[in-house]
Amino acid sequence: MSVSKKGEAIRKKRTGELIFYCCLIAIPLLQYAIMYVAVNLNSIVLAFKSYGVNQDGTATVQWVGLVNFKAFVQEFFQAEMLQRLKNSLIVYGCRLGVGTFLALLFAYYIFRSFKGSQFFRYMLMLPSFISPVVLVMIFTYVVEYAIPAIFSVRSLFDGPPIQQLFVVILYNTLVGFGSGVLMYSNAMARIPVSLTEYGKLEGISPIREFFTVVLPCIYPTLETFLIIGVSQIFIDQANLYTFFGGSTHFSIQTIGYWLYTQVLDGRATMSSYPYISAAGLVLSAITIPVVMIARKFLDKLDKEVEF
Amino acid sequence: MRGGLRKGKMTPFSAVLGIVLVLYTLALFFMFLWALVNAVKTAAGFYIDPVGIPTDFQFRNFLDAFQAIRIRAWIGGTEYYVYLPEMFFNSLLYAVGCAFFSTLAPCLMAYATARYKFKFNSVIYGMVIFAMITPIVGNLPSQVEMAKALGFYDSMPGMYFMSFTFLGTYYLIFHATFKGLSKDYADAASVDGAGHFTVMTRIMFPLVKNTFFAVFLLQFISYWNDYQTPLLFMQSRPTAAIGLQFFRIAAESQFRAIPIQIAGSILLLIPILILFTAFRNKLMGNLTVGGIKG
Repeated sequence: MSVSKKGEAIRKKRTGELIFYCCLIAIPLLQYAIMYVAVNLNSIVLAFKSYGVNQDGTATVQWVGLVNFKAFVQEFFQAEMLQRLKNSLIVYGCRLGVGTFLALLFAYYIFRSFKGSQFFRYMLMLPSFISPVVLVMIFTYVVEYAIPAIFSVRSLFDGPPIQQLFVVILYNTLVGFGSGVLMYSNAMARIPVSLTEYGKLEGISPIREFFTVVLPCIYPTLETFLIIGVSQIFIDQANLYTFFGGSTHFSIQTIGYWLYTQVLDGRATMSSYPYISAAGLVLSAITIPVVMIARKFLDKLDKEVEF
Repeated sequence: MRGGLRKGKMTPFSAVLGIVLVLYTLALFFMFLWALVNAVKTAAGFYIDPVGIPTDFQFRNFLDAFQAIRIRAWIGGTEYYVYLPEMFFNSLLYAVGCAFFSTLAPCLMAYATARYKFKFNSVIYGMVIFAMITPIVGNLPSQVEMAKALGFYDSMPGMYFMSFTFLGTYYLIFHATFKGLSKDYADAASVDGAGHFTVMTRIMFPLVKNTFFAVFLLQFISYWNDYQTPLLFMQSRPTAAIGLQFFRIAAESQFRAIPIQIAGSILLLIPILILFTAFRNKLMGNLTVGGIKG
């Protein structure tokens, strides 16, 4: 085959590949353009608008500049919103301090194949596959009826709001191990046996093995989960809507819950949507740098173990 | 050598962990057992003894759940009631369709970017990583507005389109899977005259069918359990999870409704328990997340 014919054949092949490639990515890219790019751009535009209704029932749209932003910043420093912020941070702190730590320990138990580890893996995963509606219902009735009947105590939901929040956090911790345990135990399974065997020969204890061998080896996975956790501080509803519907007392609401219920309540007229969009942008402006700083900080802690 | 079984000797540390896990398992067992027992109690039986064994088994609660759990919906301004069977049908349509499209999109995108070498691949990869590490809070109002403007709101095909996204971890999983496959089969088929579409559907996709199925199952379970998205976007097609949530909130103060609510929740649970038990190894398999540096 001559050089020119060969070149033409290669060009034809590349053109064919390009056409097929474009066909494959066209619809997903269209979806991305609409549901990611356009939605987020529209969110910015929406934050500068105001929706109203005329006396004849027709809708009005007005450009209001920074009015929505100013109103949200003012509300952000009011007692109710500060309480929601505090609750969001408490939920995140408990997830991080208790949930992540226990998930790592349970994953280690599974990784070391201690007694019943496969069964416990199944049980730890099970709640994350069950509908929160079902689990919350069963949990609520157990707390409200079964525990008081067995121990002759009052229902934990009958206490002050802060007690209710801690019951909700307890529930979230109990059912929230699934994905963490799965990912951590799968990451631990990739640690070379030679590494753990070497530690065994050196006579290191399981606690030391956990902190000095296992944790550094799975650090990238842990880091990913920690960063995702930080990015969800203002999104996390802590299943509050599932527990209490739209009537959760403000003193136990999180910002994620507040945002969701505002969108849900306002969907008929959408008159509150510009304000919520502005609130979302302000909260994103807080979250994005926090996530970046957290990433930088967590990257510095990475010992970059290679195996 | 990686992986393998690393059987550890019991130490005080592992014994304490084991005890915590046993307590955790017992708590879960107690909750599920309590629910099973109380699903077949009469309202009076539940009122008299919420923790005892029922004296009069009321299996009718499961049938009653189909009639008692209902939700008001509107189509074209006309109000009507949706009952549990229709809600289950809606759940099935929603979960199967959205799970399929949300699995297909990352699979197609990952195949395109892993198999063909184009400069645009790195742009797509960058889009995925950017979306993963950039937290965007509060764009739900805009989503609802766009969905209404484009006719996706309150429409099942609209929900399918909205779920057809390649962003997220599953793109990375499919990408790694396709990258790990040998190109020999595809090249041999191409030499034999197979076109791009044939190579993709007859050679490459069958090689990743296990991953596709595992992701599909995970997505199915997630959509089946999700009630907040359909609650926001599909007013006239409530799913079973929405029905149960509303029934519980509305009937919370009505003592007599509790056994029926629990029976309804068990009905919602059955498909997931069957799937989870049958495919637990696939569901808990080798999905691993690494770092997101860069």
